[in-house]
Amino acid sequence: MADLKIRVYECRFGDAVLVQVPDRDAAGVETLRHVLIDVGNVLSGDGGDDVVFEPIVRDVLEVLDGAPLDLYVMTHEHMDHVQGLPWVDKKGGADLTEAVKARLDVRHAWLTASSAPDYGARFPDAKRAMDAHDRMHAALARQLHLLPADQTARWTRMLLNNNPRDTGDCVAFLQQLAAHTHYVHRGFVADASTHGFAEATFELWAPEADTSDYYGRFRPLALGLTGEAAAAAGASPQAPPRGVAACDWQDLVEARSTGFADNLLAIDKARNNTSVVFTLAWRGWTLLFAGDAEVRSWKTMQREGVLRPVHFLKVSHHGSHNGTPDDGILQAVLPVPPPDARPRTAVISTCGATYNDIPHPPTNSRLVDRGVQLLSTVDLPRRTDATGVAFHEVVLPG
Amino acid sequence: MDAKVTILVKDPLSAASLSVAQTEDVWVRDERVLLDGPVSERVAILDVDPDTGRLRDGVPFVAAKGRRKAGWPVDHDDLLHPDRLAVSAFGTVHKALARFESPDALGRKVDWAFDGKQLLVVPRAGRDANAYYERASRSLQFFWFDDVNDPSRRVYTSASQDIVAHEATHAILDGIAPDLYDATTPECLAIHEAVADVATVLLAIDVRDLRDTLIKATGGAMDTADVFSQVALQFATGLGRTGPLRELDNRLGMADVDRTEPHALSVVLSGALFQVLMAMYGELWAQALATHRGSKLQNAHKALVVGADRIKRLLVRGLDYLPPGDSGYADLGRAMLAADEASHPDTPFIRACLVRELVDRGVVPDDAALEVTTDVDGPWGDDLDPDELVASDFVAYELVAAHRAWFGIPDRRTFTVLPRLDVTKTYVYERASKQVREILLKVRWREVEPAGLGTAYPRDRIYRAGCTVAIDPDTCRVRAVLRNNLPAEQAGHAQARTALLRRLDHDGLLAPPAGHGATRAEGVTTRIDDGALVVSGTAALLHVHAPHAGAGGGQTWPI
Repeated sequence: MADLKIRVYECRFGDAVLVQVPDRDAAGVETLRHVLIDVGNVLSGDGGDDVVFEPIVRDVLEVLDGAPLDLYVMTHEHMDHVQGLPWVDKKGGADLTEAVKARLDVRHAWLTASSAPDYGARFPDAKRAMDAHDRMHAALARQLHLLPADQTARWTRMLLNNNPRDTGDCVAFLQQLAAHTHYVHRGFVADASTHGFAEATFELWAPEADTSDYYGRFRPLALGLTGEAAAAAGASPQAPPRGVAACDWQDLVEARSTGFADNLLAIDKARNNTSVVFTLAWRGWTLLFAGDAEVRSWKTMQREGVLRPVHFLKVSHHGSHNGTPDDGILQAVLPVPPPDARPRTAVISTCGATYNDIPHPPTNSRLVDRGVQLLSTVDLPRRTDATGVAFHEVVLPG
Repeated sequence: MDAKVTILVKDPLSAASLSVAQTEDVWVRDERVLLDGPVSERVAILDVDPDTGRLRDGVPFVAAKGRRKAGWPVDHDDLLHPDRLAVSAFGTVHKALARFESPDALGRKVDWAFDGKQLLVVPRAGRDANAYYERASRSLQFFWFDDVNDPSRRVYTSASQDIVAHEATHAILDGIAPDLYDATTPECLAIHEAVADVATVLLAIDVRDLRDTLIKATGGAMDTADVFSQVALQFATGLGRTGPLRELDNRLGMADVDRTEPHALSVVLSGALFQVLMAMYGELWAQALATHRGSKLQNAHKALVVGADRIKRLLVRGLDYLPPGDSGYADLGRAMLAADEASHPDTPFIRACLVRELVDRGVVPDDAALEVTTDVDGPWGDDLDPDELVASDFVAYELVAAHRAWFGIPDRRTFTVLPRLDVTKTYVYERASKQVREILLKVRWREVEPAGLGTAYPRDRIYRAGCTVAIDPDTCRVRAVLRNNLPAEQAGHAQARTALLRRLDHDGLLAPPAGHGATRAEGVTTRIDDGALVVSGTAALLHVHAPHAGAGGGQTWPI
């Protein structure tokens, strides 16, 4: 009897996951079917090395071995989840350039609901909120140069990851990837007509159809008083005017820069919370793929009563502290004690030196403390050329 | 040292439409330090070029010489020139301070709530439709935005006396009643907004040219003049709205507003106070006319000034009497009534108006709910040395510990005695004024109630309660005693706190405390103390944007 296999690729700071499922139909005929989730990484820094994409796609094609890709899932509209396939289609080897769609032969694609072309017409509140976020993103990009030099790299990375124009281009590619494209959300009926599987079943836990709730509030954006621009303009960024205490001045400078960080984090968080979160159930196993869902999305899933125990967890949001919910919610997904004797595995797809506090050891500990085998892509050898691929493979017996 | 400062009146749009002078001169008095900026010992302007981040040179201070007054003269005709905005914001903040601190109001200097001497004012803080006071950065920040009706025109919030006065009042109020800033009871945050709006009205009435013009135009019928009741008209119209940001001439009751949204809730209190002002004005005008002295309009003019002064005294002294901790509208109502009775015992008209407004608007169920204990013997008998009480924390703690039940402090609960306030105010007795000394003794303690926020948060949360005792130092009798943790009102406040906190949690504006450290989300901080949740900095929410909130999914604009 064949096994279900999950490959979580080392793709630097991003996600790329392939699931191979022996799928038996009503007549008892077993077919290997496949789900590919995301493929992308951030746009700059060590976590954004594009060299990983082509070997991953070649490995996927090798696993498919000529069979079509039954289902592709785009969890949400961030570059570290969407840019890989378009990149290979544009810049891959000669046999892949402008041929990714044909080579993968994708039958069905699930894209997060808010990426649907008619989404704004159906959910005007959400559209208004998304537009406000895009405007704020533009404002932040304009003011990036006013930040102190030691802060620009981190925020540049996040700005690029949330760039609506670049993600829009990638999503446009992915909208055309499959023969059948579905925009999915909780309540979406994931029957065989939407994925092609006969035996394995799917459930959508998140996001909501109307995601307006996730678009948070903004702080007023105040900058200046410091940074290279001020220095270049002849002002001393360290010197308060005569009659003003130096410590008061410094506190003001720091406080004014928090609006930039808070607002960019709010933009990033909103997109993360639109992540497609779904389960794949197969022969007594339940696999959960959480995208980059943050705490707010987990709370909604709890409130909606969709959470239940799983055996495999693709840990949300690269193992950040805000991607894994509090213990009250986690208990519903990885209960202690476990409900059955099957082993449980959690895999983090992540990379250091990209964002502060990721990987996040306390979060790792919380998962391990639940009796879960924890794997992380940071433990894999790093590939530096286009000839190899590294991944964790989790095997679940049928 | 005194200096003359030219400030903008109302806002450029309102002033132009009313054909009144667009500026007025005010005095900054008794300052030990006046520097370029403008900078004084308590207020400093920091003008940042919003495009480059460069700090502009301050407007030069010019000392008095001969007949020339000291000040920060600006030659530019453009009312929106950065130098004019800087000087106007500085002058308006000082104008607000002077009105609050005058002998017929607080009778003392306000200490800022932060650990610094200067309020930093940024008149061009960046592009946004917003302005705010922020305790953590000791600052007022005024933003600007493009008028939606005419994108070539910028709306500077620092060009609006309404908005500058409003934000300055937040800072002043934080100095008087700092616990409101960290409160989780929505009415506490709404008090901040309402007081700031009413102060805006009072400062507008203070502008002689504006007052004269309106009295002439209306023949004294102020209920037909909407200029004073409308807050930040240009700001609102610049955003495409047809009316002002908030309308104080309203009849809204507690049942008509969202009791967990401070801005919406605030108009009940500000509306009540505005109606009391109008009633007081009408009464004073009628009294003046009955004397058959002066013209009708001269009497209207005087009635408006005196009426505004009475409201200012009622409000400011009420705030001084407000118990520490989470105080709601009813607490402020009782504090205002007690303070007014002490300063105007022979003229109960304004108190009757206030009681009627608070009952009619559903703030309290009936008149009895606003009764205050006044003019009684303290539990200390003759055993009180008022000067020692003021000077010695030990004496103060001993006194409160010995009579904790009288103060309302629960058994075995630790408490904090705040620094005593020893103030001398101008009081009015039977139409004559005199200086009266008063000691304000304030005690605060913590109460615990269920947090109601789910498993991510501690099971219990802490809110703060308190008691204010006003003591006559000559007789050691109690002028008034005010406690804010009344059982009849706490059930409603607890529900409102839960609703507010759940809403903040839902909106991602509240984060569970992380271990033993504090967690901050959008300016609101959570921490765990004795196993219970402590939330602070909630007033920061008063200036946070909600992109999809508001009627019809539009923006809310949280000035």
